[in-house]
Amino acid sequence: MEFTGITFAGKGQNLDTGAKVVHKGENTSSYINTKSISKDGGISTFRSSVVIGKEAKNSKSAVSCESLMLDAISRSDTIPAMDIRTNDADVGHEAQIGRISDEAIFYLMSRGISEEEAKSMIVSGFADNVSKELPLEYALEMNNLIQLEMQGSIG
Amino acid sequence: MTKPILQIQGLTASVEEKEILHQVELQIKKGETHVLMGPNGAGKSTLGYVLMGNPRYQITDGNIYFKGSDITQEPADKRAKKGIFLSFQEPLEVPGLPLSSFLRNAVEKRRGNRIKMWDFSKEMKEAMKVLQMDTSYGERSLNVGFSGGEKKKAEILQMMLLQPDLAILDETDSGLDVDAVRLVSKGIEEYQKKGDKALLIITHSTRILDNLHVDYTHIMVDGKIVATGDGSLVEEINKNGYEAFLKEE
Repeated sequence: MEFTGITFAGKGQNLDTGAKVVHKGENTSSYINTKSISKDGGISTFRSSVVIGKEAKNSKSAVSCESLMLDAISRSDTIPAMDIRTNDADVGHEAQIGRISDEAIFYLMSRGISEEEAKSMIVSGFADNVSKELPLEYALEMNNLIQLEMQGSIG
Repeated sequence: MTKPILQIQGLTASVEEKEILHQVELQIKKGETHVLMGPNGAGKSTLGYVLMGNPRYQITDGNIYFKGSDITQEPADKRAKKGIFLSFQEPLEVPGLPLSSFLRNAVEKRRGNRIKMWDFSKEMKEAMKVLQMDTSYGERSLNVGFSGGEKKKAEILQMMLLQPDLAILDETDSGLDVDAVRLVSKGIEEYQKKGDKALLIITHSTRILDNLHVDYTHIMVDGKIVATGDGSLVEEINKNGYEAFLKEE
């Protein structure tokens, strides 16, 4: 089982999303990979719940949550829950929360790229391994959406 | 007499309320190569950042003129389009942004017109050849997982394609092995050969200067330029260090 998700919380939005996976059989595996972006005071919340029943021997689960905040007023929370009822399971969780780097924006700007475009390049890059999973049409659409969301983000 | 391409007058700048540069004066003309040396913490890198327009630094006094226009208050992207380039001492990593598509975008901005993918890729591969950079780097995320040497080569690659009028190289040779220094300075030489290009090289060592012609050397101590000489000043510093200049303070 694999779950990939991306959220973009803008002004006045609280995107509370999540994924739940229940392991019932032996040798089962799950992978949850999410990215969240928040700006203009937007809040991204991601809840993950992994349940590994006692019959699910030798199962594997990995959860990875990465968030990128575009300003100091935005928020990002990850709420992981795990319920593991066997000793014979490999469960991992990693969360990474970071703010967009001013120095990276300056770096791109020093090559002639505007502040707005620099931010949008960094955000698109952050979302890149999610968009790679998507069919081409959707990936293009997602990039357009990111660009649209990023417009007018300065001021 | 040719007009200077870069003119700095009474430049005073600070970071987080701490004044780093005090009344810096400097003039660079077309086709000239200047070297800026000085002990650690003298403000050399700060000068590079301030010239490029890093918003972290506040200019509290003085002016910067580039090609005759006052750019003191201009943002970095405008300065870059006018032809200033800064090679970073520690280039930043941008995951998910391929070097080649980023660079093509930047070069299009600098030249003001679209470039065909095919033409750009040919041009990039030629420059990579000079630097002996594997072409696979073009498809990799900008600086992500590059070794110290590859990062510096990637900076010079950007310089070669952007063709700035003034390139500021901040410690481009630090942390590089002998071969990498040779390749990087070959890239710089290639740029210098184009004639009316100006260079400001911030460095500690002379290795990178071995193959380059140097017109002026400036010594910076405590945020001020305390001495200016020709290329031979580099040799003198190499032999005697900065002590003589520190005493003058």
